[in-house]
Amino acid sequence: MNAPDEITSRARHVAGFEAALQRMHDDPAEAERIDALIAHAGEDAEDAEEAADGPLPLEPPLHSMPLEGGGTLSYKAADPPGGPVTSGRVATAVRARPGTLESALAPVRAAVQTARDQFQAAQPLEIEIEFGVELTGAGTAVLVSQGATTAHLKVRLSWKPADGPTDDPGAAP
Amino acid sequence: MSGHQAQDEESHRHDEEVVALYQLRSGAMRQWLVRRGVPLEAAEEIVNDVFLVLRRKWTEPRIREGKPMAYAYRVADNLRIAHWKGRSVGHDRFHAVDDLPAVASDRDDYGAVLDRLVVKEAMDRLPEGQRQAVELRYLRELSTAEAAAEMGVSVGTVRSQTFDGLRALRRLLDDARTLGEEEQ
Repeated sequence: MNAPDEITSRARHVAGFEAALQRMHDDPAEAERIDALIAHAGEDAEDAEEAADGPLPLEPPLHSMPLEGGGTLSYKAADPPGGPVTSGRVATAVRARPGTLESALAPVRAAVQTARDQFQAAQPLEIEIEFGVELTGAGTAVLVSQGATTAHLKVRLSWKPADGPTDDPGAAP
Repeated sequence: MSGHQAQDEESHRHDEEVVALYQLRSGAMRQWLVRRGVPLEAAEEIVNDVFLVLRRKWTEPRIREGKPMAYAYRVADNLRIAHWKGRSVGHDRFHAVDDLPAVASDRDDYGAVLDRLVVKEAMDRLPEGQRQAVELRYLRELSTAEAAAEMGVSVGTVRSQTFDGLRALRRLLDDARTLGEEEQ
């Protein structure tokens, strides 16, 4: 993609919107459709106006995931929901995930173990792995780069073969 | 001037303001939706509907003079959720979220950067007062009253600077699009 492509793409969008705007003015059925959207999707949107100092609309939704030892972990993730909405208004609902945090982290642990096994074959004096874990809206955990701003957990693990594997979870929210 | 003429003029002015706002912010909103897993085509439809809703509500001073983009994003989020609810459960494309964010964000960030460059270039060409008014009102999302306090001018001045700025911006972005079409 180059800049003129982008400009043309903008032009297409703006022309499309101008046409839609004209249609809304000319066609009462289209105006009714938009009014229905206002009734449906705008009902709690105006609360944002009243609570001007409240959370920004860009605030990601809150998700929750049960822990195997009991209790619940709540976290914010900006990606789409994949599980049931359990309660509340659509814009502020806490979305509960069926799996536990432990089960979500299992693939991450497996990936890290594989990486460690691979590097151990080279018989280094020490192996250190740093990574971030991001919890998704679908209740899964994904590996992200250590410096990623979206990471919910930052983890550093190190192994010294002479001592056997020693973990330094260093996990911080 | 007759009542009808005044009404037409006001309606036309509101159209102009909302189209200019669309030019300024729709790209970012589209990327915002795509990054949340909404397919591009659906994101385009949602963005159009959000700005049509905004145009419908533009007659209300509390929206127009308040924080219209906060309202717009809230509507966009509700339409996004409605879109999800309308999909059949187990649709592969929407549940393969594990690897989606990285792929989507790389592509969309690139588009968003280009989008911002075009808007920034146009913004830089506005007279200082107009640039500041548009930036405070529609990029930093201050209300008219908050922008007036920040600029140290009256609410009326913010209104006129914002309106003139949006109109000039629209012209500049229209020129950019004509140029883009000619180069094709």
